[in-house]
Amino acid sequence: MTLQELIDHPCAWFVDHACGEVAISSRIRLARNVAGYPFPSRAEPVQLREIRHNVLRTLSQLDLFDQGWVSETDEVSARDRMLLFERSLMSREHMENEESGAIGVSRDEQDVVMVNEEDHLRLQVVRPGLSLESAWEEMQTLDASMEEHVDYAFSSKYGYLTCCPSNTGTGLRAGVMLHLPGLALLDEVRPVMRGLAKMGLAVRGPGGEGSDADGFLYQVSNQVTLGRSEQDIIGELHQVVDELVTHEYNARLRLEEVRPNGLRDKVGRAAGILQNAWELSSKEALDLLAMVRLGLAMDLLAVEEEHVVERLMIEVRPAHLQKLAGKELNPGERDRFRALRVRSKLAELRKGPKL
Amino acid sequence: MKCEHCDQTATVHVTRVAQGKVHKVHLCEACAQKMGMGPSPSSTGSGPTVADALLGGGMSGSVSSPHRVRRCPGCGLTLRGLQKEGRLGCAQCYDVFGEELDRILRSIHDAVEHRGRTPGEGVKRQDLGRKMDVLQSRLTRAIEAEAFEDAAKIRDELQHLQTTLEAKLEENRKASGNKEVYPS
Repeated sequence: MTLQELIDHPCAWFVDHACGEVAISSRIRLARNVAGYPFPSRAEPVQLREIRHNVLRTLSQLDLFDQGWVSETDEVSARDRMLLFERSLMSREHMENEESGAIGVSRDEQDVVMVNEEDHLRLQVVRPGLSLESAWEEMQTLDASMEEHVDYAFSSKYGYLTCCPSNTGTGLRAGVMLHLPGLALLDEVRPVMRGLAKMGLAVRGPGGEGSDADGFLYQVSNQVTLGRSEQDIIGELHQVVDELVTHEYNARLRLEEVRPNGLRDKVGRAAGILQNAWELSSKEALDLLAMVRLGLAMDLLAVEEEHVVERLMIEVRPAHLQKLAGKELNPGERDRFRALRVRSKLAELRKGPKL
Repeated sequence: MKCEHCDQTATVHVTRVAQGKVHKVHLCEACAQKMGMGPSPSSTGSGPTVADALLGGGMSGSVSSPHRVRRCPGCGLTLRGLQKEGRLGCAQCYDVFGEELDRILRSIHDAVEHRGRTPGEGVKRQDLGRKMDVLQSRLTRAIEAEAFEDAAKIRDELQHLQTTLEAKLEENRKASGNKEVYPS
């Protein structure tokens, strides 16, 4: 499979959830290191290449990746790495590190192995919707298949040994991407986040640490990785996310009650701008698409093509846009091409039964 | 006043309470940013950072004493390096800096012991491999000393371990062959 074939598919984990659902995707990541080698930050280049060679050999023996896409990072152009980052297939750190890295992605993009990131191995499983348990099931299979070929650095006291102490133990980061426009419109995201932080959960924009919450997309994940079992960590996160989802639906109901006109104004303006704009920045497009997504979920808007908004939420990002255009675009050209793409895709967007 | 971590002028002054004691920390802007104490938006909101914990650790006791340079024999990381970067260099660092690490881990996770998944066959294979290494060197020594009876026993034991190891690998291959790894 080539990279082009991979990205020609719609981004399944982002798109395949039920329309308008609050929980967009669930992600499980495991940090693992290979026994007998220093962690990437202190390893010699020759050691990193050795690890990469061994892991790539392993990946070629696993059907999951053999039928998917596997590459050394330095063979992927900077723009394509950015594209993989926009699709959450690569971390920011991995995108920026050209040396000795490698990546394996399954055909459906739901299983990913990153080689020589902060740790020798980062395993990732992403599933659409709120499906942490099934992602964890899949992850255990992936972890076990890797372990057959690779000896992990492990201590009976500390568990899986990782470069950063914040990952020590299970090496597990479980996260759910949530779309929270209702809470955002009611200015309630901040207090909710403070509450989550007190519970030891992290809330971030979708690109991971330090990224903005463009499009009202938030990622809620565990911080504690040691002293608790994977099932406990995942179970608690699931419970909190369930509550958050209810909270978001309640916020939408309250909006309808308290600010029916304000809500319609926001959704209607978003649709109007997206259908008529000739220049759109990435942030503006994402924020407005988020409002349209809210409008579709609340029957204020309607559209024939399923998941058209979700697809656009990926396509309007800079690297994706340039891939679509088939050439390099400067920021101004991108804004015009983005507006063109959105206009044509949303031409059929119309009023819903409740507007 | 100079920064506690480099020679720049300290411009960030933080009062911290750790284990019931008040500590004043003086840092330059760059070090403060690194330790998550600067005005950067990413430093707000979430729980204690690794650097917080390290700093808490560095403030008390002998760990910050310049007279003792402890270095990991596995990767060469020093305690100072660990405090500065907040990252470990290799698996051995976990043993070398155990005491400081426990403090860091407790502040992040409120725990120091793993309760989750353990590697299955991988680790058993490592154990077998280690046992075989030991036997192999005993075998060499026995042959050198012309203790052929001992050598024969050791060789039998080695062969037994080799068979076990191969059987385990075969079992794994079969088990993973039965699993539907790629959902259609």
